[in-house]
Amino acid sequence: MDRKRILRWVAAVCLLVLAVCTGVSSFVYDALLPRVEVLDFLVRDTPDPNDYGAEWWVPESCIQSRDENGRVTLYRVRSRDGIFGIEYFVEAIDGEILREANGEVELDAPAMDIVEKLVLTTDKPLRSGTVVSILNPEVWQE
Amino acid sequence: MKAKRFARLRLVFLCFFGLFVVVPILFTLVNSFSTGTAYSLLPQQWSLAGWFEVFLRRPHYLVKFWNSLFLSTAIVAGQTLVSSLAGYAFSKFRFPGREVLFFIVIIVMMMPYQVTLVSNYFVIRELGLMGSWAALIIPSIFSPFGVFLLRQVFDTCPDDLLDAARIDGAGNLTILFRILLPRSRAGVVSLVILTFVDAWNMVEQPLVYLDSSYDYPLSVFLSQMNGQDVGVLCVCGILAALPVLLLFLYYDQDLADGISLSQIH
Repeated sequence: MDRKRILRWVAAVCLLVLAVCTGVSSFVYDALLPRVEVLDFLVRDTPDPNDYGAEWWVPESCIQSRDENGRVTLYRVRSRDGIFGIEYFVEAIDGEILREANGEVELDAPAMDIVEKLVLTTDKPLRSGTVVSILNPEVWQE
Repeated sequence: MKAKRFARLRLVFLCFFGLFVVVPILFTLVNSFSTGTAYSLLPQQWSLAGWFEVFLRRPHYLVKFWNSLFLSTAIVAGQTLVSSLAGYAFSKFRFPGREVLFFIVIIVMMMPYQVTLVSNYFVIRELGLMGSWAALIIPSIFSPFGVFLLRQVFDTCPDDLLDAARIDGAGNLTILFRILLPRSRAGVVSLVILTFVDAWNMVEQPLVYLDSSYDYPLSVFLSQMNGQDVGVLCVCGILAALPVLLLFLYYDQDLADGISLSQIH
């Protein structure tokens, strides 16, 4: 076998391996990437017109974990400019349940802002820093 | 005796300078098996994590590779075609202003890319190509260097051969593709390799013409990978070097012949 023939085979094998790896890694990455539905959260005014406070009511499905003491964890979605472009990741917010009513919970969560992009549903367990894929990108506005 | 000693001395001298080329490649290869953000002569802990990350865990690195391969192949194909047509015209046709036009080609060839960057930008913007790969491919296929090289190579082909072909009924395109290009294989191959390397390594044009970093080729991606894991960075470097290395190994003799041929004339 002359050198050029060997190099042709080497190049063909390399391209084939790279194509297979691209397909496999795409499949694995998509399969492992959590898919989340995002809620555009806005804090509510208290119903009492004489009270200028605010209430943090979120749907119950936003609560990703809770313990017997009423301490809960939910996640907010943030974006960043990664090396592969804009990517979305989650950050944990710890809080405490104050009240529950009609499928919603009122929270005491000091780390929560008056406007948030909260994870409403997810198909995989989350951790702070996990990169996610957003199912409803129309909710996301920069 | 003296000639033998001189030959040994020359060998040592060449090996010494050869190390300057080989050592960085070996350094990259060795560090591709390390982790963390610090480079070292030998990894403290050998690991395949970088290879796993690039080839299996995230597809983004390989997508950048395919972006680069597609862009480079399109540019090489387009530039070879355009340069062969223009080189043929400059070499074998007599028309008014031929020498002036070729002189302009040489002047433009000697200009660094940055000189024409702004004017290219306005043209691309007016054509509505900003943000697309056409903004990279179309300007790149019109290369004065390719025209110059192929004109010099086509000059070596005797006109009598072309006249004989014309007598047999061959048209201009038949003469170009069936006679000139096969005879000028060395020159065409050297153009292909040099153009491929240039296109594979381009950084400024994607940064200026492309909007989304998803479309960036591997060369831009590598230039932006600061503070990343050393293993991942080195594996991406090996990935970037692979096509160029294979191309050069395949065509090294043709490249040397093509460059020396253009210098003779």
